[in-house]
Amino acid sequence: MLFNGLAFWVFIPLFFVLYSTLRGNHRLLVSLIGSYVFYSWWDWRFLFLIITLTLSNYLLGMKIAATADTERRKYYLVTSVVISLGILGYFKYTNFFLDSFTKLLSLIGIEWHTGTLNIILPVGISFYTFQTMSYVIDVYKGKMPVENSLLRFSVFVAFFPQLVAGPIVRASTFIPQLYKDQPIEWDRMVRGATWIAWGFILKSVIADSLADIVDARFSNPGANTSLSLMIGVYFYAFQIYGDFAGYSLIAIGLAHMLGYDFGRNFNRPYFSESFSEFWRRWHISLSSWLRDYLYISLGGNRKGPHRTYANLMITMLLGGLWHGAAWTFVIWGFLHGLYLALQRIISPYYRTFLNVLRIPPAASKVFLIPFIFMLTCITWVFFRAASFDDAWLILHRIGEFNNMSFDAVAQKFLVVKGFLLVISLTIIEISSFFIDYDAIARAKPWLNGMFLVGCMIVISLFGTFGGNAFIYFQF
Amino acid sequence: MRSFISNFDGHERTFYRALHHLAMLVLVLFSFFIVDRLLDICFSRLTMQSQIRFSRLYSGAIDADILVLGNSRGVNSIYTPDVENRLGMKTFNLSYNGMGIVLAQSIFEDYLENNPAPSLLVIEATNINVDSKLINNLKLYTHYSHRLKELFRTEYPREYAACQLSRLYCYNSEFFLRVLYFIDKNDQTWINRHKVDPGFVSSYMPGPQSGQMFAQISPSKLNALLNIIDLAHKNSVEVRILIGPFLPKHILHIPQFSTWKQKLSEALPTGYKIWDYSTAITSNIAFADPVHLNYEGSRMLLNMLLGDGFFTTTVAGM
Repeated sequence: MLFNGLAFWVFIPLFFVLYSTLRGNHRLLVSLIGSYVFYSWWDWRFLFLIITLTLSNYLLGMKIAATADTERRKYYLVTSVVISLGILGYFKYTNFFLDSFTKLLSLIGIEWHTGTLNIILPVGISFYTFQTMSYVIDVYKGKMPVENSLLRFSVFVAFFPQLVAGPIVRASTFIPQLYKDQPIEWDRMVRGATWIAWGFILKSVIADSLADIVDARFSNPGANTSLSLMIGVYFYAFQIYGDFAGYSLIAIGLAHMLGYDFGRNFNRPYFSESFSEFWRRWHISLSSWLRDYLYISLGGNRKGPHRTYANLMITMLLGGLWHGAAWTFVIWGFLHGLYLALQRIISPYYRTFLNVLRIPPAASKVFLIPFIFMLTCITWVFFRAASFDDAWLILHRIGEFNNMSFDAVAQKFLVVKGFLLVISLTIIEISSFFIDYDAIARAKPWLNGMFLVGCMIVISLFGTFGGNAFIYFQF
Repeated sequence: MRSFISNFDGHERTFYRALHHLAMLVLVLFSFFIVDRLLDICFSRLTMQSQIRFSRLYSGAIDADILVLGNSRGVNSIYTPDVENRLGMKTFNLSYNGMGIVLAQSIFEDYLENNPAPSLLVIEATNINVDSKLINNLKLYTHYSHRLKELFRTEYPREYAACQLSRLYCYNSEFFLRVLYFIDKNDQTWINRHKVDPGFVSSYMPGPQSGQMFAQISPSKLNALLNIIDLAHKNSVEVRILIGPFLPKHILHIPQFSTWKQKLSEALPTGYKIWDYSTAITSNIAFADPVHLNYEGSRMLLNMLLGDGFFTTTVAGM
């Protein structure tokens, strides 16, 4: 079921009526059934996967909490992680590793054709496996108490607003909120509705309007001029941002209406002055997950500079692989790891350079923000391209500057529309650094009504309703 | 008694709060409805003021001797200002990117209803296998044409319903941006101006989907073409069926094309022929891409058409 599909808009009022009239375990049960229905709409068979992960992690969490023996606790933790990563690995990476292994063998002259297995990638598997893993690790580390209620734990794993594309909500954030019946309040409903409306603008107006332009360029890079490809790459940066930030905001807004608070998942990432800041602003729930459960577990920056660079690289390579089973994602992760490591090396010199020339840090923003954005866009090419060859071709053709005439750009009117949308979004995001829109909306609630009317008009006029799936579903 | 009163007050407060919230919801929806309708009025006026081809059609502002119908190949094959200069006949190109023959039939019928009949109708025939998806772009004209409205309802029932809910949705298309762009500009000078990249041509081979376009002719689409010819005949309009040039490297690698052309030729009423220029131009500089001419190409084609007597109407369209 897609947030931007008709079925969801039939489902959500029915769910909401039941949810708001029930209390306690009945409400949890409705949440669970609703979440399972939501997921089954795509493919009911994979419900068993969610149930398996739920049961195994629930039981292993109980086992960890029930014993003080360190070895046994570690054994249960490892078992849980192996089950979660095993399931993720089988469904997501089997064909990737088989294919890579075959190619490796052929490089050394051994021809071995295994073919690929017919494995369907379950929607949202990367999200819910990471979510359940965080629970068991936190219980193991004593950061949160074990959850005794299977029903509550099942709702934590499968809660539909964030089930298929995040945000990855930590057990320590969500489970305590499931202990009481969250009140359905008008103010929360209105605030949630405004977030959902803005999420739809990001998805249906920004991301889906840019999708056609981006697809036309990435599907046939050879037929496009340098300028056309450049436009495609820049637009993809905004497409993926609108798509994923939009989904996250809809999920967070829905949860807010139902009484739950999830953290912010995106915070104007393209205004970052460094790559570490970018990762504090982009897909915050994943980057903080990777930081807390992978980077810090590897030693973080506590074991000297070389180990820090290696840890950054490992974290980002695995972060890239988390997004998709392809070498292009690995390259994307590698480049981000490289940027982060280089940033650590260069930044002391850069600060000295600013001090010597007495350049105020604010002035360096003018240079840094576009620079970081540009490098991020170049890196997105590997993320979006169908193959490594395509990614190189795109970058090569852009570098040629062979035809910079706007006349040779296809879909001119859509491109102009895309630019207007991107510029509008940029202006709104810049203004939000100076204007606290949330505070204004709280002080003058009638503005929320005007905002919703405005959003409906913008969506009506500029929204794209092709039932485009969210990009992050494939991860 | 006291608890009964406080209980009653509590219920009353809850009731009024719910009523207040309901009123807020209704107000938001009502405000949207009002703004939606007001903007619809503004946008429909802008649409009819625009100089874009279909706005001129529905405002009855066209008085052409030669009318051209087709898809993007029609747009880029016949450059009307040059035709007018060379022939001294008023020419209007009603072709549009992605316009299939079924939609073209409705457009032609609407044209005859709103404007004087031309003396010659040119149909770029490769649009015969194109579907009517363009109607989603032209939905803003459903206010002015019952034919387009019906086609839109059939092709896009959900979008049609959305247009009933929100009139603004009718303006949600790339076409409306063009309407605004051509608000005070003539769109008849719209043609590809760029040239295909020679490097691209040297390595170009048409994909299998290019051949599918010519795999067969659907009876309903063929029927639409015959209806146009029949309607033109009834209105004393001569008809030329044209196949504009392709990049030879494209069309010569599509084996289905010759069979398709033969079938189309056989289906035409007696005496009508296809004016086939599919391989007439070989120079790369005449093309914007493998299937579209550019301005240079349209000039080359025009010279050929004039030399072949394509626009001469004394031969009764045959």
